[in-house]
Amino acid sequence: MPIELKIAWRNLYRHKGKSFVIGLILCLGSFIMTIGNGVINGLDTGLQKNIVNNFSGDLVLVSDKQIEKTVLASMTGHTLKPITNFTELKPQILNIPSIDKILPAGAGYVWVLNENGNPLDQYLLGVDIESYLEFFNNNLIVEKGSLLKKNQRGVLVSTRMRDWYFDFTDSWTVPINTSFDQEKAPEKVKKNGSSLQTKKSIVYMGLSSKNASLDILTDVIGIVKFKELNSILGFYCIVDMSSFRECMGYFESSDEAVHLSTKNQNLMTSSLDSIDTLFNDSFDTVNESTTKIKNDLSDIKHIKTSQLDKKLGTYNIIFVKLKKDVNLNKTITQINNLLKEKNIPLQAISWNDAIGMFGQIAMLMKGSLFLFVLFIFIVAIIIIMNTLSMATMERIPEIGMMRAIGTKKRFIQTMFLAETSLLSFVFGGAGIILGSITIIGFKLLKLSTSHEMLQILYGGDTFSPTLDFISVGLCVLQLSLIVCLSSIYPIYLARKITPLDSVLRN
Amino acid sequence: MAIVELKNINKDYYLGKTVVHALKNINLKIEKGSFSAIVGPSGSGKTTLLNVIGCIDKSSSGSVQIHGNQIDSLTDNQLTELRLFNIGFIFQSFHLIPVLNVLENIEFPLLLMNKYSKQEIRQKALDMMKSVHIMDQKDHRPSELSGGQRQRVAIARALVTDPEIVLADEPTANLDSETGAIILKLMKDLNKTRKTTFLFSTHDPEILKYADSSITIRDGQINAN
Ligand SMILES: Nc1ncnc2c1ncn2[C@@H]1O[C@H](COP(=O)(O)OP(=O)(O)O)[C@@H](O)[C@H]1O
Ligand SMILES: [Mg+2]
Repeated sequence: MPIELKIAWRNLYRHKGKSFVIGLILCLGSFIMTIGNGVINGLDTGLQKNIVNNFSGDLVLVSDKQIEKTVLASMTGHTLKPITNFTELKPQILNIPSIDKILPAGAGYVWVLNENGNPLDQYLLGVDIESYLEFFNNNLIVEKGSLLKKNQRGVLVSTRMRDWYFDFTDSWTVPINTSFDQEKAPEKVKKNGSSLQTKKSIVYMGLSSKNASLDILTDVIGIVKFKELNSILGFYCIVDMSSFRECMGYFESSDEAVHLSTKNQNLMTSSLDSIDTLFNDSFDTVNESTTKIKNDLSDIKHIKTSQLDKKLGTYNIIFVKLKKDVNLNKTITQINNLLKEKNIPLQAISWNDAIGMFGQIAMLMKGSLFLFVLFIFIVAIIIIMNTLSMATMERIPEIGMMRAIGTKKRFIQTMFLAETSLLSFVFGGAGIILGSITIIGFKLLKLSTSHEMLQILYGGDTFSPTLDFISVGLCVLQLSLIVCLSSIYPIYLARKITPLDSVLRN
Repeated sequence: MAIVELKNINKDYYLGKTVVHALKNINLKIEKGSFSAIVGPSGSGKTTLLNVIGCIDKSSSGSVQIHGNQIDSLTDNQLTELRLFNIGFIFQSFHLIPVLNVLENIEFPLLLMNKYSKQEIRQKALDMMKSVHIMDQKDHRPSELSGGQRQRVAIARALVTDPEIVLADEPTANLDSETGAIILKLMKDLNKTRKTTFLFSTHDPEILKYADSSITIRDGQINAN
């Protein structure tokens, strides 16, 4: 063993207490950093996996006329540009080599009209339920009622939106063919007791591409939950494609739709007795675009023919799952080039861009976690630097003597670096290992949450922080950086010690 | 031939606005193989003088020659090598490396020299230990030794590199007079047998009698004998 290392090693042992304190800080620091890295990592992969698998696919195709890219989380309420000829495009899309499977759908921003006049806004997803469930691996859990059946019209209200409807309207959404279950209802609902109103259908108002508003009255078929990230994805309710098209007025833009525009057909059904109960006086307080509907009441349509919808084939978004192991960003550029080349009027947008603000929440979460890790990092550096500096000062006469009898500065530097490196190797290494074990432990615990923020932190419903080789490498790198940064000042001090410091003066 | 030659050496310390003239116009030659003492009361400048000779402090003016080398223009690394190869130090407070045992402490400067093989280093260290009669404490750490034993180890460490000169600043000040005398006798012995040049300081007349020649210093000035 080189003499520098020998002295360093024995010095650590000689100053056991101090070594232990520094070691403990190093251990704790790298422990926390490892867990932080693991959580960030898990958040990343979890979010990606859960959103891609349950909600967005790897990418979406939308009309090339679509300008805003956050097509699944538009805050402006602009309706997506329709894709009118999906049936023609379908074979061409499926011909693109990297694409595995696709799901045409409608995504839009709608108003929920209700008796007390407070308009709610939310996202609506129109799908063919069977294809949808297959495409997203049965991502829905039925809380109450049932899922839509093939060609059945109606809406699947997410638990999140049910809560929200209740907060705004004081009425509790219950699927048709079921009754209100007092026992299972949440506390805030129970409080209302017998005066509680229930609601089995919902009126959605969409903005068509021509900005004409169209309302649909839909029966609530089921209350559902997304298997993962319900608190985020639950902004969406799911309707059958026909209802969605009506809501968005897509039939109007099509030739065949003209035949459908028979007015005043079965205007009101089910629970609503008259138009007046739907739009009572309080509605006047609502903004212009909503009051407009009041005048256009005769335009409310309820069309039952679903065969026509199929022919029309109007959608506004196509979810795409890619074949395994293709690079997302590269593939998107490839697909976009191909679409242009073949004159297909579509554009590909990555899931990440499409979900917009949902992703940004995650970024914020990640950012604050990162800041936390950085904070620990800096605190560790300061404490270690302080302790090491003090230790250096205490050894001034000893080091001065070594300098006097012929030890070069470089030797002293190596000796100090060896001391901190040894410490960090042992204790920091232990911290990383402990952190990794804790992460594995957390993974095995399968902690799950329905809390909104925690779900984002977890990257899903279950807490599954992960460490791969890269993030372990990152931990080691961070640890080395701590060692280097916290050694710089003490080593600078040690190098400044002169032979003269060996001499006793009285 | 002079191992050390000082010409017109001045050393000033600045304490705020006041200046302490620690050494005033010192001219001095130390001959090879001599066993000399610097004598003077406390504060007279003995330590300062030894520091300047030992290249661990710089004079304010004047020239220092060690073994023919003008030291003023040397870099820190060159000075360090000069000390390692040409000068041995014995300190008042012994100053051993606490985490190394006796043998390792004596081997330490040889390791720094990067000149000898492992076996040579071991052999030189063992020989030196025999010369200072510390063989029995070979594996002990400095904290397990008495003051006299520690100073023996320090002497061994200073001499093991075969330096041109060994400087010892009050080597017996932390020892009782009996042990001090033994240490001085040992030094004198080594001076005889190994022809090593010694220069030590003391304010103790008892110790002075071992010296072949003495330099008296008072208020930073030498009164030649
Ligand atoms: N670092 C210093 N700063 C200021 N004055 C010093 C310093 N070192 C020594 N002196 C002064 O220089 C003079 C000589 O000191 P020193 O060489 O230690 O004497 P001695 O070793 O003979 O006791 C004394 O007056 C002392 O106070
Ligand atoms: Mg002195």
